[in-house]
Amino acid sequence: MDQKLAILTAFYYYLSLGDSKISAEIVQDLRVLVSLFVEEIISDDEYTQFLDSLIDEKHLQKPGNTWSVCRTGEALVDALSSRVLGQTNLNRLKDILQNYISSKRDYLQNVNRQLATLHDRREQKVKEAQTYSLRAVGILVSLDYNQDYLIVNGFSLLTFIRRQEDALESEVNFAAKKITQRTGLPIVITKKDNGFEFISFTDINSIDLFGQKLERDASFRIDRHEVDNWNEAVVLQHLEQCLHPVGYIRSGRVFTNYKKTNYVKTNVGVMRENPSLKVDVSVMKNDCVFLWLDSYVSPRMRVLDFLEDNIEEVNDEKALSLLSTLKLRVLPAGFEVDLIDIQVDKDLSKELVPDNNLTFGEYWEKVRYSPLEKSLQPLLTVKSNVGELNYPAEMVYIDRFSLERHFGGSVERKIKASIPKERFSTTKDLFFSMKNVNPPYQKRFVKINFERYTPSVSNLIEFGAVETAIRIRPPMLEFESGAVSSDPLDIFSDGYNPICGRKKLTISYIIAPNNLGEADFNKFIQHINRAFKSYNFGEISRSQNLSTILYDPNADISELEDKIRELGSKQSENIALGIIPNRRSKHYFAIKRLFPMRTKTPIQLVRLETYQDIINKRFRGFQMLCLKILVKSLKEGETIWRLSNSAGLSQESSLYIGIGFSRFPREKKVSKCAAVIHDSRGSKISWKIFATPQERMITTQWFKALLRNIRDVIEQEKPSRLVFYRTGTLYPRERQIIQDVIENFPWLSSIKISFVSILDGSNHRFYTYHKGRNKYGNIPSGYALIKDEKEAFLSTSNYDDRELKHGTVVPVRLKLEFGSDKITDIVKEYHDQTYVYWLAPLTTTKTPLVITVADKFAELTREGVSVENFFYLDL
Amino acid sequence: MSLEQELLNVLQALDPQSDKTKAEQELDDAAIALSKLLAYPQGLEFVEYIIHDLDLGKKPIYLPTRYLEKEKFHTLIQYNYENTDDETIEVLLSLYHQLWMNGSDTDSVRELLSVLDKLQNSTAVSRKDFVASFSLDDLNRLDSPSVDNDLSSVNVYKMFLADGARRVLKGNHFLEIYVKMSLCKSGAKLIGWPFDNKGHHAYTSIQYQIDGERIELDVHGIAQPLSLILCEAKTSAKITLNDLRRVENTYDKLMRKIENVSNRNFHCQKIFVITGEFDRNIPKSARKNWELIDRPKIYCLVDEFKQLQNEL
Repeated sequence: MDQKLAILTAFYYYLSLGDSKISAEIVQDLRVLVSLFVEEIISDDEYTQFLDSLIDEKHLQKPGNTWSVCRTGEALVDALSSRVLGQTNLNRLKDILQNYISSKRDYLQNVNRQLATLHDRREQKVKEAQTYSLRAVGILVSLDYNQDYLIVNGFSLLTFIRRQEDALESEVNFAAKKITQRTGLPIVITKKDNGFEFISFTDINSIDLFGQKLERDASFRIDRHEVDNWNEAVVLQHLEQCLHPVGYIRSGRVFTNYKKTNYVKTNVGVMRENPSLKVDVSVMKNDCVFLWLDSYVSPRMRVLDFLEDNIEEVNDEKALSLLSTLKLRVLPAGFEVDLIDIQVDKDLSKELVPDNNLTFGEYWEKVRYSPLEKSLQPLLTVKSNVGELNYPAEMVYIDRFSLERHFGGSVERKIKASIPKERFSTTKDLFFSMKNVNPPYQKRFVKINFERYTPSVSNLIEFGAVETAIRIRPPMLEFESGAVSSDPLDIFSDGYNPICGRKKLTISYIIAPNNLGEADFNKFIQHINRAFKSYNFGEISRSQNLSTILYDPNADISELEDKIRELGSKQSENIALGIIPNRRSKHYFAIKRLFPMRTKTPIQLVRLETYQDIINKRFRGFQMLCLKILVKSLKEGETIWRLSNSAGLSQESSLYIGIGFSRFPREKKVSKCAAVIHDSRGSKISWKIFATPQERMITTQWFKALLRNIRDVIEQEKPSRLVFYRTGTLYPRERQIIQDVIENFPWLSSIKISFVSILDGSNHRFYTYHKGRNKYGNIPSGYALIKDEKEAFLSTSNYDDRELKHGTVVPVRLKLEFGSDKITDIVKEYHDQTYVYWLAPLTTTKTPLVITVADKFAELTREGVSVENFFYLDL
Repeated sequence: MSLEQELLNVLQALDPQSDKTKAEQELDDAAIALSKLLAYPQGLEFVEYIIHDLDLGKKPIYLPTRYLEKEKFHTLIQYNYENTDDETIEVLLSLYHQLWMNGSDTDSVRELLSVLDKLQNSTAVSRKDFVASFSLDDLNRLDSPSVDNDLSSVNVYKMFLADGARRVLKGNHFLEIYVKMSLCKSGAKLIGWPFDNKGHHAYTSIQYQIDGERIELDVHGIAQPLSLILCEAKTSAKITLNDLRRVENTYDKLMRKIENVSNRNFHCQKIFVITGEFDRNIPKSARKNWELIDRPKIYCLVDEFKQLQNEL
């Protein structure tokens, strides 16, 4: 940052905001204030040099003992301060000066304290973590090869096969799978000019594709180190063979145990739950592999149970009619199929599998390792992408979203989260059950050893799975009048008031079910107001001309929609309250879609249960409710708290763009949105809505539109760096598009750009284990494991000391897709930004504010909520 | 003897005196040229800028050869701030301050450039020197001036005010001269009295003696149908009821004297011209005897005077 210009700007604004003269004492105070602004202590000597230089350049003058800004100095500040320092930064400098003018000594003392610790905080922002007590949920495997070469088996495709592009890939995979099932050996498939190469330990002389036998036309040996992911293929194949005897069936990287079934009661009937494992593989040095294990259970409604529960006397016609409206998936792979026919009461112990000598009972027991529970059950004929197949009804289940639509509500089931100790036990049990199995298939080529379960991170570092582990200190947060704290919960304490000041809000509308008594509405508002006041957020009162919109919760939603359509807009400081049956009810999106746009009033929705708790004085969630109302009343540029220093204590001037994404597969709805934070403290956020229905990918057109729309913000803020955050994997095509578009925008050439993917880290879990105390715990917020120079795992949103029962923390997996930043810096600033999400003061949030805002707006646009509704932060 | 002559005779009998310095400024071409700037939108603002920011014209006035958009100007300043010497940036900042630092919008700056154009061609300027030229393509300072109508560059000149112009600013006499010229242009007959042996007349700041007391009239004249126009001109930010009453008392004294001496009741139109604004608290009853002309109407003073005479 141009410190000289910052000093001149401070002089200029001090004169225009406060005193008409600048005394020698004020000049010294300005040094401290500018130091705070630039986040660097400007020494007396440096400061004197800057002042001398400003006098020499005729920007400042000092006739006698007072200082003033010259004409050219004024012009320089007017012309360049916003351009060079950035608009939001400039506003922050004005805030600092204003705070100083209002309470000079107190504020200065506060600033001095902050500055005194700034250097230390920067030095100590990141510390190396103690890796021996950090444990990874998974198993360490070593491979001892007897054969160092592999055979490449080349198959050229005939023209008629090449034409069947759509089905080709799955057919090739299916061919490989059949060979693997027969031999028990892994195969890695690579594409070549006119065909495919099947790489394995042995010769593969022919394959079957589309019912045709295809002979190998080339073969040669290759060093196994030259084949990417070979160790991964070997281990996953071995895992499949080891887990079969204990009941697990593999589908890609997911292993489900069909031998252990639990039954859970849900609102749509009894469902089955089978323990499942999601496996991810990290290849390490010295032929070692780490298997990350994420154990979970997922309830499924089998067609067999569904028919028994929903039809009194099952017959072919009734069953076909009921199932034809539902989406079905088959076990164990979970792929979708179309139902063609159903024959009830088939004896599967006698019925033969087509083109096979085995009965269905024998087939599922011997080939699929999953014996049928019932002999007499319906047999379904389904169509999949490999043709028509017959499945027993207990091996077909109903897609969850399809089931929810059928029952008109979501499947409600108590969340079952596993705490670290449970994950440790699961992993340990698996380790020993697999260790004792000794499948014969790969033995002559490789010896596979299960070395350790839940190893420490120092083990992972030793074998190269991760580079290092660090701990990031929490950021300092700034509240009104420069009050500083490291705990977001202080927003509810005296002395830490919202930066936006106290709000005076009026409730102008209440939307409620018609069975509620209007007399209770006053009580409802009074209770909320009492809490709102107690947190120093301001006041909430009932409007003189309060409108109540009462609706029949059981009537068609169009009735409520029509009532909202009749409403007009009121004054600007209004807020509305709505009471809906539950969060997922159709009323939620109907109100969000219509109400704000019609009335120009933000609305806070509460569930009926919450409303009743409030009026009966049982409600315990006032803190969050009041924060939500406060957030909705924020005007552009207002904030509740912000970072006291830039995120990650970075000295770069960064601007953050979050690309949010929301998908609703059951209705094939997709949308993405973008939000922008103007500075690295979270002082100002704005959002641009580009809803692109049915489109998950970042396209050239979309990305160009995004850059064009944020150009104004960039020109206003003058960042030296842009950081894009996006949830989910960035595909190579998208990366190319982004790079091409950026190259075509010359105005971005002087700005450093980084693109960070925020990936799901659910199958990369860690926990802490203190041997002495034999205590298992979650990794505190701020711990990060640096995998390599582009990837890291970060623990966010967790406070074990607050005794939240959250299971085992899921770290965020950050991937620097492109950009020259160090991954440690990316992790540091990401971590700090998770403290600026005002609606998660208790735990901080998993994603930065920009992503949270963009995701929320993506969700709303996905549901058809018009962009005109987004004039307030509807979080 | 006509009534008009009779009125002039009465005034002459009141021993008219003028301030020689001010009277000489009335005749100074440079002072007149500078005062004439007030007849253009932004003219008054610019004259005030010269007084306050250019130290009564001691500092040079900068003149660009073309209008530059504010953003373009910022870019030019930023480039030169980062890349050139102190002298170059000083020129640009001084020019920027002069054009854009009075809360000016685009229209005002264009009007200001028009005022500068009038000024450069007037006798108020004693010298105009080339200072710098800037390429609008690469923003660099050029070694020599380009052709003034070259669209790809801008030349900057600096102008110095002639002594007469600076004196009229220092004496704060420019408004009276402007009011005098405007009243004359509107068709009224100015009342002035000789102040030297060469027969030159002074028309501003004329003092009359009334019962041993001297009163001063900034500008006065006669309009038809016969009316005495008494005009007070003040470069004040605000005129209050007290200020108005004080002037009104002076004018009333004069009119009573004229009535006593001539035994006639002449119609009088009182005008107050200020560069600021009249206090909103001045009551309607106090305003009714006056024609109050404030800042927004200064540049169209001739039209205001004409309108007034039409309504007599």
